[in-house]
Amino acid sequence: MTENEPVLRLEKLQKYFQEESFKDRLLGRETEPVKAVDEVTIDLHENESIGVIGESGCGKTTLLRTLMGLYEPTGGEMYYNGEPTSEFSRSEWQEYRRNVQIIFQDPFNSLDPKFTVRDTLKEPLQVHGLDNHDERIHDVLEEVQLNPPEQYIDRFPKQLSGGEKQRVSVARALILEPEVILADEPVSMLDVSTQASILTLLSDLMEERGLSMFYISHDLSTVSYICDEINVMYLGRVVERSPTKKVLKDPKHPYSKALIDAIPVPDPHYDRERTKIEGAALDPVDLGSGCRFRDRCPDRMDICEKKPRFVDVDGESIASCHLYYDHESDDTAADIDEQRLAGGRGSSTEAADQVGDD
Amino acid sequence: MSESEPILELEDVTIQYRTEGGMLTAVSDASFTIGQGEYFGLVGESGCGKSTIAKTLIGALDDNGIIESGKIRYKGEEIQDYTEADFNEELRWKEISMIPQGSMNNLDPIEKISDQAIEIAQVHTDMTKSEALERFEELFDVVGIQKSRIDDYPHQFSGGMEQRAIIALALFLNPSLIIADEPTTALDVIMQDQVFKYLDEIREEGEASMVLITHDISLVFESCDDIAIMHSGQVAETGEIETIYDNPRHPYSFMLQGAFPDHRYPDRDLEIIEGHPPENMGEVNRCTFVDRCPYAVEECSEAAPELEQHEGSDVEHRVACFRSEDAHEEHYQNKEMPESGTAEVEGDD
Repeated sequence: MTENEPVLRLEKLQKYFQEESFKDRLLGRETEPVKAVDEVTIDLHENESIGVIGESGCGKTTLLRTLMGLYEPTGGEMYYNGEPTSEFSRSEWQEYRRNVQIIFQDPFNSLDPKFTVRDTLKEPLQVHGLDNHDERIHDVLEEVQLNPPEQYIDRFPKQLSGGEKQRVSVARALILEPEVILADEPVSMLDVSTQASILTLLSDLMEERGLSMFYISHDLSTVSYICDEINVMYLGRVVERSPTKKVLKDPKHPYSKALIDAIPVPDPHYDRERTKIEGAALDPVDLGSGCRFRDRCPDRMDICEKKPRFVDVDGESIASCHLYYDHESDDTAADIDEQRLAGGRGSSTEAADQVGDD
Repeated sequence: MSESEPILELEDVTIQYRTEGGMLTAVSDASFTIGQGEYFGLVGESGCGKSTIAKTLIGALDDNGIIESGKIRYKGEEIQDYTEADFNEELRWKEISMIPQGSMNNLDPIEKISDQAIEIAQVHTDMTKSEALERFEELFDVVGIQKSRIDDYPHQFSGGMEQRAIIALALFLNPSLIIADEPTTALDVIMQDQVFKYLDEIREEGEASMVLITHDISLVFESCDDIAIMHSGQVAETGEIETIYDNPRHPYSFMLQGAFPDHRYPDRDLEIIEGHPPENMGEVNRCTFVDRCPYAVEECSEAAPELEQHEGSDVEHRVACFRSEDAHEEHYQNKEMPESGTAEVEGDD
């Protein structure tokens, strides 16, 4: 896997929003940008499923919109099959949009109420000039298990349950035979009884179609059913990247720990302690260069005013935290290899100078 | 929990809405009891009737809704026939208060939070302005917000703080019962935990009871004493949380538990409950779970099962299922042979 070129590669991707009022401009005042996505580096390989987890305001939706091409990055680069998207022509963008499809969070509002299932699925085919509409629609409905398709094809969204609507959303994403699916909290609006069936559908489809998936969520308890690896984001930056099960069992970054410790456990015999984290996340404006979590972090040190490097903590987890490296050798030690930072955790050659805390 | 009189009793309550297609039954013969100082979880999927019950309890049922039959007793007094004026004079805020869904728009955005508290105090009590402010400051302390911030406007608070300010308002006139309708659903997980930390403290003091209405069974298992699980208007099962967790007797209870992800076991298969809750028009004379239940027999569609004490339990544990025993046995037998599970998901591998 590491040898292959990633399908999608984000390299130090940055999206800042410059909020400048008319008054500011008149007075010639400089405003600080909102750093919604700040130097995010992630690789997505073929048939891989990567999660991005974080609370509201962490930048995960901005990241997704940038990936869809709705926002233009303000820095860094995005590569699709090795080609930088900043140099895409119109036709290349169209090609990209056909191959990178999205499933939205809210099946109740993301389907046109006046479109039947057939209309919803036909529109992308028309836009991209594909033929055999009826056959494709029939097949894709079968694939998302809306069986028999004839029974669903002429229904309007209001005639579908929440789970069925989300299946139509999945079908709409699949009908163009994309390489990459961007999934924006696809189960968070669903009842728990249907949640599992959509999760299974997605993981089956990944396997059958060889799809790659970017899965965005705030819910850590369902990601393990979809994602091989997850990135924990806090205020625009990735703070930890670990295999999903690893991070659930043994989170390394203090923020990941806080996030996992706060998940309620459905077991009255299990005595979980309430979170010790105080306050709420700040806005990612003018926070200086240090660790973004420093104002709430229980393990805070003086050094946290400096931007932490990414370090390989234990051969599995990569965290951006001062706890995990020896600052004596800080100046001389090279930052972790960008290639490995981006995704493939293969052989570890640079782990020598890192100090784990446990 | 104590032997004293229960704070709230629902007895065979049926609530219907007038709709174009006829009478829609949102709650059907629901019964449960909440003790003094107890935290009670009301759990179910969307459309199960839990929010209808919440609204009924503070007298805010929609205009087209009626309590068709049954009794609701608050501290022994029947309140099902109370008028709007009765609710306002007798119950709201000082006896029963509400924490609505945390969706950031429950406070008046153009009024200081302290002014909103004073207004409540002046309508419902004879507290003076300074007494009201003093009391409200104390409560800000209880919910972990600086006292100095009572004069803030709602937009100056984060989502979690705003929800805590609402909790402070709910506690303001020392109510005996708090109805919390999905109090943390719109909040992030860390903020949710912060809010529950304060709800825990209120529980410790034991002065107020709470109905916690949520779709998230894990919140109830962590924070409540008793639970009622509802499906499409009917109470499927009710009892102490440990009992319901260890020994669920209604198929919906054990399937719902199986469907709930637990981050401690990322490999566990999640159960799927096929179908969706039905819309009940008119009188409900069947088990509303029948179309989704793998253990259903003919009897289940012919009559609504009574909510009866489960014979194997020596504590209060009531179940509404004709096939409780067989279903329980079949379900847990299948659990021991994972290969035979047909309705189960394979997680990632």
